[in-house]
Amino acid sequence: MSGIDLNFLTQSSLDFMLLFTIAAPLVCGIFALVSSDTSRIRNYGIIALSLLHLINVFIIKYFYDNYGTFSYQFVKLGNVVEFSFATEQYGIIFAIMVSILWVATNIYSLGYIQLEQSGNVNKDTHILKFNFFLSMAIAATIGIAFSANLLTMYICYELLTLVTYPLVNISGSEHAIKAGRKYLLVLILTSLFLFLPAILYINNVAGELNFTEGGILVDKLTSPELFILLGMVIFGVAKTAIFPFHSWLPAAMVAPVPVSALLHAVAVVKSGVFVIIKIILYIFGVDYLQKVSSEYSFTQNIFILTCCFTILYASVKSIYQTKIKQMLAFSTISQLGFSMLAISFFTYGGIVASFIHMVFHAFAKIVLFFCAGLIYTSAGISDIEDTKSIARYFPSAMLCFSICALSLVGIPPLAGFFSKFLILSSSASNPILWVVITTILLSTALTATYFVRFIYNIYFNPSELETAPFKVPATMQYIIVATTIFLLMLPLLIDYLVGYLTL
Amino acid sequence: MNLLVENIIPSQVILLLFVAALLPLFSKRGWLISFITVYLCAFVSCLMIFVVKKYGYVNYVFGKFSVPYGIEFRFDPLSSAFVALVTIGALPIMIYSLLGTKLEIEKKKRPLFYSLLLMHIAGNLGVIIAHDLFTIYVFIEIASITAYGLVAAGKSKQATFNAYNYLIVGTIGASFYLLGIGIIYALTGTLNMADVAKVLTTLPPTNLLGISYICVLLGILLKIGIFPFHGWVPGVLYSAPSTVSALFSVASSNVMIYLVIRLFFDVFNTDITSFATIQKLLMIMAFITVMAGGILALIEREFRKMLGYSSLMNYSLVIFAIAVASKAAIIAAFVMLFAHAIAKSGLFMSAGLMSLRRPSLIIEEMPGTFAKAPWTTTAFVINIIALSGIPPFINFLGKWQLLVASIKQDKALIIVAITSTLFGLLYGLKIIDKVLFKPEPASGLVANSSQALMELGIIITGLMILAMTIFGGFFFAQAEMIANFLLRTLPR
Repeated sequence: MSGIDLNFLTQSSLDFMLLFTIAAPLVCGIFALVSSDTSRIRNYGIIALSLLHLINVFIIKYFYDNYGTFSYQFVKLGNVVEFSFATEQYGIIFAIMVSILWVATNIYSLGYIQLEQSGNVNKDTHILKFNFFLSMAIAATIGIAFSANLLTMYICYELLTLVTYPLVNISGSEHAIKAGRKYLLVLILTSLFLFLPAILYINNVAGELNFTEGGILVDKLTSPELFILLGMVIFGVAKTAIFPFHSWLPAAMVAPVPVSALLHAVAVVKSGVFVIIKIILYIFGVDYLQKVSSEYSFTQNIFILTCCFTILYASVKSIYQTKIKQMLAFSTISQLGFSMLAISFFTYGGIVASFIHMVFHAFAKIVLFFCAGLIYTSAGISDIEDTKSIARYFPSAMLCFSICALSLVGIPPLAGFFSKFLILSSSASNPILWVVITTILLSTALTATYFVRFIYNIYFNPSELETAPFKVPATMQYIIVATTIFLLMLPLLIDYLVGYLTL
Repeated sequence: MNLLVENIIPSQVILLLFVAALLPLFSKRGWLISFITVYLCAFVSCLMIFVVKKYGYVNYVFGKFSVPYGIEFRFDPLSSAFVALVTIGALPIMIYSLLGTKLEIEKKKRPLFYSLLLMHIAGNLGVIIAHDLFTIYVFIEIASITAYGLVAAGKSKQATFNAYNYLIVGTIGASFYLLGIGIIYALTGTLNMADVAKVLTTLPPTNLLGISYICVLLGILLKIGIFPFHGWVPGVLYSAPSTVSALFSVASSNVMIYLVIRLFFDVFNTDITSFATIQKLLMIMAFITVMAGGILALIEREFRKMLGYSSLMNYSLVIFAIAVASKAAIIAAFVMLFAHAIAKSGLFMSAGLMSLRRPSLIIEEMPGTFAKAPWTTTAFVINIIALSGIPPFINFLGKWQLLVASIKQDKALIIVAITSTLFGLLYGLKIIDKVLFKPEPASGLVANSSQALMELGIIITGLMILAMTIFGGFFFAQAEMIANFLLRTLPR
């Protein structure tokens, strides 16, 4: 990236753009809060603001590509607290992914709320205010994407937990409140007791927390220290839903579908993986980790085995679920396990593979959730048993569901195949290669089991459901199809992404 | 410096006492007069911050007796910060108290109540500004006696009993303090703090001197509620009127902490050994109180009593950080102190709002207030999250500063800080989902228009926490100035 000197005017407008990118979701949220719930201006305003935000992120990418990194120091308190943002490749691509899917979710939730309010299913109280919290969550995620140091990232990470918590128990039912409490407890306790002390220790050892290429901890730690620290970070960031701190994700499925789709398939869980990627790339340093694990491979193997266990455990659990959203939740956990597995190889190729897998999974999973929400609000179906032969009532939506499900299984030429292949190829230099390959093959088989079973169910299983025509709002349908088409085109971007993201 | 500035120094205390004495004559306008008085005092304290920035310190000697003999009022960076805390923190409470006192105090006692309130603030301000050991004692007694009266004004039957409890413990504390300064006076022959500090450096460190230090500090710590003398804290805060509990969290214990800081850094740091001994003593007592306060807060079922234990925990954390006495730890202590005072006062006011139709506020039965009072509930949630020390609010930033400071110094501090955050989180969580998500609207909220003023007071505290977080840089810079000021005499 060339570092052309910018004159003063352009520099300050770049800073402003970065600030605007982080503030734009906040503005959208406040707009959602103060505008009346049923006006069309509100609905279109939210979509317009999210589109504006997306354009802004693309502009930032353009400037980053041509002019190099730029940063914005928001606040500096004393010597110790520094809250600042900067641009770099992984953050930019992550922000683009989140912004695109935020636009998609806003369009989807237009139709979702219209359908719900028209009385087809039980109305959720308070649901109309959820746009505010959703926008705040996006703001926190963009904050994580563009953080310049570990403290900023930690603050945005905790903010994300706090702001998504009201979304989980928004329906106010007893079940929702219990689920919300579990969500909050698991996420905050892990980050308070594992992640925060790890950050503290890193600050003590390295003297700073800024993300620097090559890492700031190189050669400053003894081996046991390094792996304990690494363990604290990986398990402390419970948003990656790694076993045993994965239980918050199925619990959070009690939230309404747009929330589950955007947050628990995209924003929250992907933030977890993104945080780990950034810490391994810019705090620990990939070369340093590789060097130490080539001498003491025992601890690296533990991480790999934990990820493998998570993948298999979640895949098996998925098969036994009876509710659609729970099945999707466990499927998310196992796919996140894949991303974490690729990271635990401690190679640049592994990290790129993990990130690409993350992006592809986000698009596929959000379509799956969109479809689940469609059949829930339209026909009141939330159990897998009731989905027999519903494909004839929702032809295009179920076709898209099938396509995205097969992508997650890893069937070529769909996107998921390429990302799994990337992960597999990045594992080449690994000592316990056979465990990894077995896990990947086995989990592909298991994923195929529950998804293909589902697809068979919706197409071929005869049912006694009455043939009432179900309302399918156009917005929901179009956005599902549009996102699926985007997913189909994603494999074309692999070369560009690999080139862009390789350090 | 010119005459106006010099004469403004004692003006707050004198104004408050004067107005308090005359207030029973104006029974109709009691609230308005008190509010204007407190507002003027807040204005003066802001003025004094600028004056202190310019001149370093300013002092005023009563009756023009020269300094070691006369009574001196002094504003320096430490005292001006605390005066600002008490007066500015009292403003939202005064706004709240219009309706708060209407609902909790009988009409004919209201002017007396306001009168006591103003005298209590006067006493607190006097402790902060006076630079003379015995004058401080006098003002401690003014503050305490009015405090006992304020607590006894509560509606419930236990108010008098709790006030009596408070009186016993408080008087014992004040007596220890008096005993201690009596010994110091006997040994040094002077009562002015700067003078005492000078003379103490020439005295050999005898046992008697050590005992006097311990008597003084113990007396002050008794009035904060250090373990095992903490029993009066929950009862007092529970049965006092909500205005009073809120004012206590802004003023009384914070002022006692000020006294500990002042004595620890400016008077008792005569030599390294005695400094280190007092340091260890404070750290141990604070550590035990943090643990005790946290555990007791977790098992407590009533909201205001739980807030009392949580206050205890926070005060002890601050004392622990002060005792560590490194620059970063002192900055953290100040940020945490100020942030906690504002958040806690907001919570007590919210508790007052919620408990209007029910005598005790059991946490499991707390009303879901979001439907009827969304902005107030948001402020309430901000205060709770801030209190627990969860990012991004200013309390977390203070705790982070503390953690970073402690890792270089005292590992015990890390345990204390993280455990206190855990406790805060757990008892905060119990409350948040109750008020936000109970679907039925609350039956305990008074639904008339003047309730807006109560809510305004609470919302102002939420906004203050937000402002302190956003302008955190300013805060940290002020705290750094105070830390520099305190550490100017230390060899480290």
